[in-house]
Amino acid sequence: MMLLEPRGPLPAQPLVVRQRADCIMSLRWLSTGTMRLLARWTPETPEMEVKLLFGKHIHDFAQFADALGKRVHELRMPLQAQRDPAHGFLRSWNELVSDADSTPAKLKLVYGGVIPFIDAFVVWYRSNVDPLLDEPTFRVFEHFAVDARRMHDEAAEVLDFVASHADLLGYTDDQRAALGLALERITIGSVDDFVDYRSPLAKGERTK
Amino acid sequence: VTPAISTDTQREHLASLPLRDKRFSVARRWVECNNLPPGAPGDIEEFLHRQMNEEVNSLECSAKSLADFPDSDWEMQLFLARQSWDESRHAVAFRLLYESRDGVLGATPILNFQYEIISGFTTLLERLIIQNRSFEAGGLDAIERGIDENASDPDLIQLYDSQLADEILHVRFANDWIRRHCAKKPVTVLTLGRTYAAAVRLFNDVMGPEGVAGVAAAPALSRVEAGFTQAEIEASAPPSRDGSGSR
Repeated sequence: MMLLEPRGPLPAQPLVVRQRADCIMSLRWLSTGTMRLLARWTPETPEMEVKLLFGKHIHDFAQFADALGKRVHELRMPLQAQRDPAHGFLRSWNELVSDADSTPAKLKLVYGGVIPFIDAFVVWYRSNVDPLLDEPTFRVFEHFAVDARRMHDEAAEVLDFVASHADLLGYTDDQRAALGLALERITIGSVDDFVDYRSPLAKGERTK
Repeated sequence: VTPAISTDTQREHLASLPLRDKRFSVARRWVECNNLPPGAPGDIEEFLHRQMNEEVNSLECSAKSLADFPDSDWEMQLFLARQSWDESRHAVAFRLLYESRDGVLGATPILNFQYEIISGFTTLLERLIIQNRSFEAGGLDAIERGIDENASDPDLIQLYDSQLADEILHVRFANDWIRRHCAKKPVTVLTLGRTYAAAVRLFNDVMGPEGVAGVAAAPALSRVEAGFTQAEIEASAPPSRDGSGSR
């Protein structure tokens, strides 16, 4: 957006500050959740290259959560506040996490599930806010998009290594087949049903 | 496999071993490793391989603490995430150096005592005392010594130089945090002593007399940068995180 150019069409009912804060707090929940998941998996995952990948990306998700947590404070919520997502998303997430018991499944959940979900949520969010008034949030998303592309590429590189050394790593035929699908996209939930707008809304605020 | 720890009381303090893939052979005691004498053919390669795994252990410890203490200060969580990344980078750097010298992953046994000991403690305070204030501080001593002893190996010096800066950061953060904790809860000082003594017992059990003989390093100058007081430096004789005795 240039400084003095007219804005494009705005959403009919842009999200208000409190709703934007709800969105960002939910996204922070997903980011810290993914950070802790990678952290828990690090000692529990046998392949050294995957451990090291997780170790690096723990920090990427922490940085994203930190930026979101600062932004949410600018939107009048406590510093580093986060909020659970809507119940349906939470239930689905917990099932996906408990099913991710192998290296291919772990890779698929994070790089085929979480990262594409965040991409999709950002697209949805952008279509529901005024890009000028919420530009600081957009900037946080832009930085993460760069990191997310890198994380995906690094995961693909590690996956190639693991696949090409599957015999050495002791993979069975089934595990080898799962590797081929490890970065395929999976749906971890709907962006429309991600945020739980539980906050009491002030008079005149938009409700969902 | 020989049990690493000899008494039931001590065994209760240990975490389950972190997983390793089939390339690696995991030893439980120092004497089960290839402990080549300094200067012997393959000595430096064996050291690089073992050190790579020590960095993986450090990563696993930081990550485990991050996962185990979700209610800790956000500043602490950010630090543990940063440490996880740093240790991951160190492991990659040691691996690349090892492989550049025709090293093959899994060629020699590795030890995972660091993870077993540290992650066996149940509070974040204890883990920071052991991982950062003891093992990593011992690592500062070992790295400074390594820089002095390997002047003819510029690749290793380059790695050590960067690693030292990162480790100072890790030790300093923990020292600052523990010091603040002690100021708020003076009884923490007792925990410091008790935890350190327990870790030394566990460490000595893994290393055995052969593994710790003759490796008492002079405290590193960088301990000052890492937040130790002069009195603490003079009193320190911590176990080294690098499985010293290997070099």
